[in-house]
Amino acid sequence: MRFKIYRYNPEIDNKPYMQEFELDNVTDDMMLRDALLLIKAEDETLTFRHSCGEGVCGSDAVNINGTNGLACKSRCSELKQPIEVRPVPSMPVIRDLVVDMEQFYHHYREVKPYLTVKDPVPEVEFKQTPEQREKLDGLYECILCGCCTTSCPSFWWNPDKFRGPAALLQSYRFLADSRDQATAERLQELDGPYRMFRCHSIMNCVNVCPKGLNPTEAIHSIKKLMVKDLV
Amino acid sequence: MSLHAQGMRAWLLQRLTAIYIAIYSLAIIVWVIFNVPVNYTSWYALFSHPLLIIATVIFYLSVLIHAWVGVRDIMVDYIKPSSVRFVLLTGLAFALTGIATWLLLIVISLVKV
Repeated sequence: MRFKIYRYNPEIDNKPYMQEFELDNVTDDMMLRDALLLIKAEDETLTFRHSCGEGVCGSDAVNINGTNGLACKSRCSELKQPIEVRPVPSMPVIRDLVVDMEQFYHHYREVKPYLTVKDPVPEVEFKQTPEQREKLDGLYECILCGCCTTSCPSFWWNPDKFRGPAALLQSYRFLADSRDQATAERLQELDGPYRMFRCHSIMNCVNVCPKGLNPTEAIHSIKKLMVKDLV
Repeated sequence: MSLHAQGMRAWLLQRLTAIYIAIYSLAIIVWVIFNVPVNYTSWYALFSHPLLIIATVIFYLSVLIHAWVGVRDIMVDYIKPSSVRFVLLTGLAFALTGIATWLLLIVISLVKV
């Protein structure tokens, strides 16, 4: 099985290049992450992030044949050869497939991804009805791999100002939470031409999300909340 | 709306004007299909009806607002240097104002006759 992998070591290389590898021992059930580990066994200078290996930690987001995805959830046998593996687009490359995610985490921090409660905190746990809890389905599952945000053209154009689909999905996760009391502040923070309204419903985010989530729908829900707030 | 764009308001205006543009266009097309104006006089009679003048003015205002928000969105996406963007946005504002003035003159001429 043939692979073409993006290589860049800023300490040695003047510019990035694609390196070809060939593996004979790839079995049908092998994920791209397993193949990368085999390649690393041959060439230990190949650098990439990975951890749990089962689509939970979100460490190994890469660009596979032009589409973002998790290496640990992409079956090699289902991919067109040579399998081209690149770092996720638009992020500064630290080395090979490892990118600097600071910008991504900055936007995540900015949406205050935690419950804000103004009333006195109850002695017992916060109660939620099953219906209230259901509203968080499709929102809380995000693993922050960054596949969506780095595939979003609006994020490519304005990475410093546009929050990006992942952060906006998280924002809605807390707007939709019956226990959160900072709705007005959250909506206020997202108004303006950049933070949320750079989203033009391109829906690359929905296409690539390895957890099958729908950030575009979440963004639309935030807009609906804003309209409700306005009238 | 000012050059200093607002997110929510611009988005909402774009949506609302889109709905109006769609309804107006469809209504006009359907009307014209069933009552084909055959010559200048019948076209003139159609578009000088007071109700249609009002609807048409709202239509063109909607198109202008829609265009302003839409083209501004494209510029915010693709044109980075703020000086260039400012010049282009000003140009756009002048162009749209020009079209609006032209429209006003046409309406006045329709009302006068």
